[in-house]
Amino acid sequence: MSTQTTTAGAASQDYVAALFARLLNVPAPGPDDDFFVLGGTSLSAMDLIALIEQERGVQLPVRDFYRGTSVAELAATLDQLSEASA
Amino acid sequence: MRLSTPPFAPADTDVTDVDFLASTYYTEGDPHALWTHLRAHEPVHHFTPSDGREPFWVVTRHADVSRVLKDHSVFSSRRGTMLCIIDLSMPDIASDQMMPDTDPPRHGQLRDPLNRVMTPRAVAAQEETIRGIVREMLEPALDGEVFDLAQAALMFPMAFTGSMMGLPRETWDRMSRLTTMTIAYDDPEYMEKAPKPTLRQAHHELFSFFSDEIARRDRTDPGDDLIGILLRMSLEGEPLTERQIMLNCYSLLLGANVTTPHVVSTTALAMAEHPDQFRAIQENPQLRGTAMEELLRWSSPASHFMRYATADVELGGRTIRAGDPVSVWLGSANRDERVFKDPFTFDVARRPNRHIAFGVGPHYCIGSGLARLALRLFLDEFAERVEKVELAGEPVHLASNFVAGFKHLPVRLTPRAGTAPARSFAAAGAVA
Repeated sequence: MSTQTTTAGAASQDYVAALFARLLNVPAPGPDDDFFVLGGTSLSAMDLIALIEQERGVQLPVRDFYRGTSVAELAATLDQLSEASA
Repeated sequence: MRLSTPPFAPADTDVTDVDFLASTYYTEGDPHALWTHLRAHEPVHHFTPSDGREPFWVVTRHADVSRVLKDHSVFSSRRGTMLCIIDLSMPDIASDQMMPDTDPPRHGQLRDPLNRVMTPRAVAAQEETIRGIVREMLEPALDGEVFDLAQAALMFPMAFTGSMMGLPRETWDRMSRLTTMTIAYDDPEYMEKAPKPTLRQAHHELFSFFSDEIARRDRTDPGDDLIGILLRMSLEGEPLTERQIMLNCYSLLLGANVTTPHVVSTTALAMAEHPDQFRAIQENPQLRGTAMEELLRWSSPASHFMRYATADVELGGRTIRAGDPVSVWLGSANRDERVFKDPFTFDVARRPNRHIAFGVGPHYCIGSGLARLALRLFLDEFAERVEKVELAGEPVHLASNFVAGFKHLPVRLTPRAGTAPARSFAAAGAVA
C-alpha cells in the first residue's frame, strides 16, 4: 500500500512539474517550486486546471487548488481527488 | 475611512510617515486630514514605499485629478488602474483586454455596445425589480432591532446585476463575497491565508463562474443580457475571446458590487448624524435628487484610480516622468475647497455639485445610470419608510486602499407610522 502511494505521489509530482514547465515556460521545477512564484497568474491557473481535467480526467475545484500551489502540494491534492473518485 | 470628522489639525499631519498603500491607514486613520493637508501644501506628492515597491504619485486636487482622468494620451490605463498592482507587486493580466485597462480608441470598441444597454433610459426598465430588492433589503431592518445595514448592503447590487448579467441565482452569494475579497484582500474578515492568494483565488473563482456561464450559452443565440451582448461583440473585427468576455464580466460586476453598497451605508450613517437633513428629504421629495448627488460626493466609494504616464508632464508644479504610476484620489477631489463651498458640510440641497465620484473622462463609470437609479430608489424607500435612524454601535470600515466603505454598520431604524412592512409587495417585486 505505502509503496503504491509513494509511487503514485512521485508520478503525480513528475506530471505536475512537467505541466508547470510547459505552461510557464520554465525548466524542470522542483517539488517546492510554487506555481505563482514561477510566474503563474489567476488566468494561467485556469489553463492549468483545464489541462488537468483534459489529461487526467480530474476535476480540480478552484478552492482545492489554492490550498497548496507548489508542485508537491498540487500533486498531493490530485492524488487525494483521484483516490476519492476511485 | 472616516467620512465626517472635521475639523482637523492639518498642521499635525506628517506626510513622511504615511504609507499610501496600507489599507489600515484608510480604515483606522484619517485620510481626509491627510488629503486636506496635501491639497494645501503638496497637491502632487511623490511617494516611495520603504520596502522597494514601485514609487508613485499621489494627486489630490479636483482639477489635477480631472486632468489625469481625462487625458488618456499622457495618462494611460493600459498597465492597470488600481494600486493593488503596486501594493502586491503583481502584473496587470488584463492589459488591453478589459475595458478599464484600455485607452481610446480600443476602449470605445468595448464600451459603446455595453453603453447602449446601460444608459439611464435603458436601465429604467429595471426600476420595479430594483424597488423590490430595496424593499426586501430594508424589510428585516424595520423590526426595531439592531440591524447590520452594511452587511445587507454588500449583497444589494448583486441582486440586480446578477439577473442583468444572467448569472445563476445560486452563485450570487459567493460572487458577492469574492468581489469584496478582491478589494479587501488584507481585511481579516475577507482574507484567505495572505493578501496575494486572496486576490488570486477571488479572481480565479470569479473567472471560473463566468467561464462556466459562457460555456453554457448558445453562441448563435446567446441572449439579451450583458453576457449575451459581450458574446456578440467584436474587437478589431474579431469576436471577443472567451478570456476577454470573462475579464469584462468581472469588471462590470466589480464596478457595481464594491462601490454601490457603501453609498447605501453612507446614506444611513449621514441621516443618523444629520437628523435635520433627513427630515428635509422626508418632507420634501424634490430634494432627493440633490441629496443623492451629495451622498455620492460624501461617500466617494471608489477612492482612487491609477494611470501610467506615457511622457514627461508637468502637474501641480512637479515633473512626472514617462513611465511613472500616478494615483488620483476621488475622495479628496470631492472635498476640494477650490470647488466645493464648505466641503465638509453635508448638504442635501448642495448645488452646484461637481463631484467626480463616478470619475470623469472616457472611463466615466459605465454603470452610473444604473447606480443612480438603484440609489435613488433606496433613498426614496428609506425616506418614506424610516422615521428615525440611530447608530447602534461603531461603524467598522472595510480594510481597503481602493474602496472607502463599511463592513459593519449597526443601526436601529424606527419605521414611519402607516408604513408596515409590505411583505406581499416585496415578494412580488423580487427577482424571478
